[in-house]
Amino acid sequence: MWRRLLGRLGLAVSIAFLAMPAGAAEPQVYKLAVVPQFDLRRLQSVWGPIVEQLQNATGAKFELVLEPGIPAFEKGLQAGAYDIAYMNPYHYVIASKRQGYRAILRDVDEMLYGIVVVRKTSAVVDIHALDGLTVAFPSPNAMGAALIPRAEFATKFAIKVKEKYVKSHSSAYLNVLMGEADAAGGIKATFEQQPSEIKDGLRILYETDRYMPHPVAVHPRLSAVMAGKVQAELLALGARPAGAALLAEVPFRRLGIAVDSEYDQLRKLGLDAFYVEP
Amino acid sequence: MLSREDTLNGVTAMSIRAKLLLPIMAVVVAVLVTSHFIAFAALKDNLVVERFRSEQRALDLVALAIVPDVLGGDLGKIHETLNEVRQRHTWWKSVTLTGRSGNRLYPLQAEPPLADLAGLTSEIASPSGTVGRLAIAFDMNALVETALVVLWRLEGVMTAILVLGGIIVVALQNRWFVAPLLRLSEASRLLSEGRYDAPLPPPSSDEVGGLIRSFDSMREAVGLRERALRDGERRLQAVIDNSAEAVLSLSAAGQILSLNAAAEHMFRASAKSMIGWGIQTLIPATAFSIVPIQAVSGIELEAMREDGERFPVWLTASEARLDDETILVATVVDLTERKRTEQQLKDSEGRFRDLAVSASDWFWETDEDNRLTFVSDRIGEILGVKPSGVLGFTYFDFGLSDYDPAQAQAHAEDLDAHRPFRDLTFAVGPEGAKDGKVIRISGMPFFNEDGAFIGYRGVGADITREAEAERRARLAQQQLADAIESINDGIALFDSEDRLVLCNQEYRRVFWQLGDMLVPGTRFESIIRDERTQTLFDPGEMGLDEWTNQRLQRHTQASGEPFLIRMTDGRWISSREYRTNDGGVVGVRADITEMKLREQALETLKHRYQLILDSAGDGIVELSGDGQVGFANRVAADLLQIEPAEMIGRHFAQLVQASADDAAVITGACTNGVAERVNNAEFRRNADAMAIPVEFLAAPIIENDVANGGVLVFRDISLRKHYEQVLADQHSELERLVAVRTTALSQEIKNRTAIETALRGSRQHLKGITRWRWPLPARHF
Repeated sequence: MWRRLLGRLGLAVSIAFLAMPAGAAEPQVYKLAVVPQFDLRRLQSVWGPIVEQLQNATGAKFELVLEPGIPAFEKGLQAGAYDIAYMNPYHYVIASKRQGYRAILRDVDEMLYGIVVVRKTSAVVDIHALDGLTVAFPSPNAMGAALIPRAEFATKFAIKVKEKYVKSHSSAYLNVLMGEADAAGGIKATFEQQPSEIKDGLRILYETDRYMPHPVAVHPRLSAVMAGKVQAELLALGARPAGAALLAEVPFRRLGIAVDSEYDQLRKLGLDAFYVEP
Repeated sequence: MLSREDTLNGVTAMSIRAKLLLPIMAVVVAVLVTSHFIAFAALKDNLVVERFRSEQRALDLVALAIVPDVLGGDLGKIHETLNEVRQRHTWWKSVTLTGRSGNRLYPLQAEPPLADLAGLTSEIASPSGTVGRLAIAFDMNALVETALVVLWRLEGVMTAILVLGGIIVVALQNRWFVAPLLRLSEASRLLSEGRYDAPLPPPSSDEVGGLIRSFDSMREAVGLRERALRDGERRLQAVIDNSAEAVLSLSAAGQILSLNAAAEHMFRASAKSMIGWGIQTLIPATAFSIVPIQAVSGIELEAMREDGERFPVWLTASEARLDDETILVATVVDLTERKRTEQQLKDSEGRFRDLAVSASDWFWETDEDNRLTFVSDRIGEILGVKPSGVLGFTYFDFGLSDYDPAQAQAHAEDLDAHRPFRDLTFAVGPEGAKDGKVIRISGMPFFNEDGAFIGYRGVGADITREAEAERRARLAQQQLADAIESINDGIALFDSEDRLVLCNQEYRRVFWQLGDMLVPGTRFESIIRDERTQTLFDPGEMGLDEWTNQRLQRHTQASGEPFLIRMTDGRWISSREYRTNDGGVVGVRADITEMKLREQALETLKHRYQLILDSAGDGIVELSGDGQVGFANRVAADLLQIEPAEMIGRHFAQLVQASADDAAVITGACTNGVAERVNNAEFRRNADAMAIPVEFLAAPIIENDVANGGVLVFRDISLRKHYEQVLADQHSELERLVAVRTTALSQEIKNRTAIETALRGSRQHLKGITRWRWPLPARHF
């Protein structure tokens, strides 16, 4: 009799253990990582208050993780080190594939797309003219600034460019302006953020197709309850004027619910071929 | 300090200050020049070089820092880094980054080249080679300006320190060395001039202080010696100058070298004029010559003043050596006064002898024990004793002690105190005896040259007769005083100088308030003008000054006329003053206050009686025995039309004429004592001859049962007589009217009787007619 009971108990434990998703159990402190597309101090100033709001609302402890660079962020993302992460759409495609991250929030008013800029005085007026020329990108896996343009260069325009990775959007623009590159990939947001002496020296040559923007995704180990809390709180935050102002710095023009299937378009783009492993 | 000799000799001596200052200034200038042109210049160059190197190092570090960014093409990071570098290095006026191909990577816009700027470059190297070049242009001057300013300030501070330090050093040197030495120099100069009071600087603890202390010690020693010398010189000079004798110093040739003030005074010439004269000019002694020089112990000679007056002198001379020179010191004493004194003494002795022989008094001397050592011969005549018989005795032995012990005691005290005395009187021999004498002595103490008491000298006189006279005078005076005291009135006697001689008790009683002034010797005017006197007497309506002057005048006149003095306490004093034969004044004062009060009461009563008599309606006249009017009241005066004062003393018959019978009645009352009334009389006024009908009563005044006058009371009956006459006239008229009326009434009565009879008859008739028709009314009469 005792033997049967122990056997049933062990079977229950095993089933329970196997039923748990791969990864880990519910953490004590939730790590929230943000893709370092801006200066770390800026990211801290933007996301720090958001994380504090989450803590106050959920009662759980959150840790804001700011990696020194995109490669480090990508590495952490692929390793599933973050419980919650704000990332570019491609990061989400890879992360969802590799770690099972699930998008819960995105900007519902803005679509992600990339731009290609050249010097204002440049003779290049057509995207095809970039064939064989040097194009600067922030990093190979920068969604809108690099991945999408690179993919479209190859798939849509069948051109081959010399890729030069210059660490940041600003750097990419400067490379064009200073003549170190013939063009640069970026996004409208970062381009608009450039000082006038830079922006006025450049012109947008091409805008890519629109894709789903940066999501906020959660790791599968995060319970649905907590994920729901986070989602709800961030939505609620966006509903308040002060919170909306906070989120606008992210930037979220209007935060809304994200669905994983919305990113299938990106999956179909075949960005894998252009993604560079960190 | 330049000396006069050096200046005169054209020697340009440098002052010690200059000597101290010049090296220091030279060192300071050398240091400044060296520091400015060498040290600071080198510092500046090094500063520039170091600055260059520093900037180069900084540039290299920046270039090194951006190597990864350049290699990675991270122009954003490069721009961010270089912008920050430019913000921190504001003196980097331009920063340019060029790439491998020389293309500008920073800044965005090409910057124009800046002039006057220094440039540096740094290669941006990688293992693969130079990938770029970083160049800067900077303002070296601005870069080093701060440091240069510090350098210049340092140079300025150092210059100030050097200059100020130099000045301080010079000042300290001046204070510690130069000033003390200069003051020592000045003190030395003053010391050479004989001044020892120059202030010395306070001695410090160094060599200069030691020099000052040594100088001070030296100065003090020299000063002491000089003071001693000068003191001795001054004393000697003082002795010589203050000597009563003329002191002259003479040369070997007999020339006067110096002389003192006594010599000037003696010879009546100034020293200045006499110096250089030969001594024979002053003392032309033919038997004596000072040439050759010889000392003289003393010789009487004749000298001559400048005005030629000759006078005797006593000359002494002695030799003295002064260095290598022999001089003669001569003293000359003017014997003029001594000679005169000797002569005066001789004359005085002669006079004294003559006086002693001829004087009525005797002269005497006593020793220190007051014993007679000398009496003149005159005493023998006076006292009947030989002069030698009284020598060795004191005046106390002669009877001074017995005569008046108190006086003897006082005299003994005077003698003990060596006080002079005068007019000491005492009796010699039995008092009152035939050979008894009264003498009076006066004496003066005399002392020897040392001031020791030797004895007394004096005179004595026989005043027996004067004493007797005085005694009699005192007796008479006492008798006079007793007599005066026995008088009831106050008596005061003033002498010819108006000084109070004596006054009796009654006088003191009357003027008891002036008690301490009523002493013999007090002047009358002093008594009158004294404040107490001024408040004692009542001047009445006169002012006090006028009263005082009048009183003094009365006293001076002393006519004997009595006058009254009213006292402020209400008393009355009757005073009389008489002049005496010797020019004095005797004043007699009697207190008549009671009599005065009685007079006042009598006067008051008389006045009251006067008022009573004046208020009477009749004239009242008092007549004496012989008919003179002694009193008349107002009514009498009005009736007789003459004032009462004018009636007093006049005979009544002179005022009024009466009938013989009336006059006899009046006279009978005054002389016989018979009173009688006359109802109908007539007085005719002599003043206006008007007759007044009067009625009078003459009543006698009986004194001691003797008729001694009378009182006449009379009144004017004119009005009464008039009324009587009027009444008589009216009475007559009335009788006449009564008679007439009686006659008329009688006739009337007759007529009425007739009428009534007629009426009675008619009535009866009528009654008979009307009785049976109407009731009859009541009758009316």
